[in-house]
Amino acid sequence: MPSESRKRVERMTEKEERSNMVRSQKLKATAGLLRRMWRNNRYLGTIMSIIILLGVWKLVAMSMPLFVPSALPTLRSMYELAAEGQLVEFTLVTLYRILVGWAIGVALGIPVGWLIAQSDLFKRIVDPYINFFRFIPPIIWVTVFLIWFGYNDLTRCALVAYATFMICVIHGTVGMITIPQEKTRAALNLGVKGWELFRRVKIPASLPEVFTGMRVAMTNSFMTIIAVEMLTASSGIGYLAWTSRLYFRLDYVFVSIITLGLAGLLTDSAFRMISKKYFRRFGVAID
Amino acid sequence: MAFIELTDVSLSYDTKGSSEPEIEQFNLTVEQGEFAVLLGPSGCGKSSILNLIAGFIRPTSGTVSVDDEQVREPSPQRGMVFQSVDAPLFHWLTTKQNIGFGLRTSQAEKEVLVEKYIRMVHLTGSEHKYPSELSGGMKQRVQLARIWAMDPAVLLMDEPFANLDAITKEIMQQELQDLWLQTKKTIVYVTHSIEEAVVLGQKVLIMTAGPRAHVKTEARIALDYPRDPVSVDVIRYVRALREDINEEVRKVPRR
Repeated sequence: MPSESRKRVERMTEKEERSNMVRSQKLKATAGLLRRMWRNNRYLGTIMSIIILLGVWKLVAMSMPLFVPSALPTLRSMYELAAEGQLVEFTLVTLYRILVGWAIGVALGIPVGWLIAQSDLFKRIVDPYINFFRFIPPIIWVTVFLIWFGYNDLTRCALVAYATFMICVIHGTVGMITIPQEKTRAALNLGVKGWELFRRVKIPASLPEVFTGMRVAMTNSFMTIIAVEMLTASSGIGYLAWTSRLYFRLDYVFVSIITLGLAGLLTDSAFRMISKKYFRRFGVAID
Repeated sequence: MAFIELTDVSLSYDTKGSSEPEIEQFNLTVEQGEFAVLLGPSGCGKSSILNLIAGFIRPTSGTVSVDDEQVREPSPQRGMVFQSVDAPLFHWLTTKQNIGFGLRTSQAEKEVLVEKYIRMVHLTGSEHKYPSELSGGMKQRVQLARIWAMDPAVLLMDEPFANLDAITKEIMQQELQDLWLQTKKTIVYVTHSIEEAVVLGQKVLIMTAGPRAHVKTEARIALDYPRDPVSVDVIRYVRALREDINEEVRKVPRR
């Protein structure tokens, strides 16, 4: 091979190598930047997942427009409903029913759970009923509660309370029977027994499980109230979703779903914040 | 009559009696102010003996008495220090609140007492910390102070330093010797470590491997306190006891 052409080839390879190196450096820099962004911005993951969701939504809506309303018109409908004030009102009404029903259910369920763990007599008397009613969903009571309490929020809250109660009883009991033996023995050894032991040791020691129960019950309350509102209400998110079907406003159904999800997210965050702030020392760990 | 007396004690967790009793024909005497150590292979029922003396469990047969009184239920007079580091503490209370938990005195008196015991176990500066903020050794100090503050007649210690690192363990052993020398409380201490038994005990009772565990031999450790775990005398005793205990360890079925 003549030396002239060999030199040309070498020059070319050199050039190529250099540009390759530059390219790989650029790539590395970009990767580094992305990594830093991912590390430093806790919302990046959420933003990315929203973008992906909107993309998938768009694709699905394009492929079957009759069955899935596309994203933008849905958001526009959401804005319309919000501007009219109806969406906010319905959301607040639903949240009110959830919170009142849930609070009543927790206030009754947790102590009953504790009593089951504490007293063998109480356990033997109450346990069969708990295990019987546990398998009966709140919805089946709708007619009965309507007749008993009337077509009002009392009925709706009572149904949420019923669902919450069952969950809280179980978590209250488990919270107490799983307390390590050494803890109660240590208290007995310090002369603390009977109701004092219950109040000063057993209740605080059971709180982590109690909070888990309250959180599970909260999720369950959201599900219950929608079913209840679909069957017996003229306001609320469940009502919105159910009536929209009559006019084939599938976009409103989607609005209901989004609103409910957001409301759930907010409630759970508030619950987590409160537990973290005031109950951390009890070993309540939520995340 | 001895201060602590276990007479012909048997213990069977199986109430139907179909399996062998864990402890059988167990006899033990501990004098007032004595430091007794129960030494035996794992699972031989050492902890059960302490639980019997504490009153957490009742014997299937035989009698357990402390200070001429039969043990029927737990009492602050028989204070237990548990092996578990985390479970016995009330994790929602601070060091100070944990130590004052069982005290029934006026608030002012309680402050003074708690302060005294915090100083005794060298926890000054950690009064307002929660157990989760303390190291393993510090948690055991809280347990020790909490039970010591009740001024019990007997201290029952169930491998209290077994979950600590070697350095902390040695420090705690030295401190326990000092405390015992100062207060001369009756202590029944359970361990599976021969070194620990020799360093701490005036009297070491070697138990047989369960089931049907009982005291096999009793050894007096005639050394002055405080004892140094690496001194020639201690090592001589350890060697002497080792054969006895190894024989029992070999009997434990391998799982």
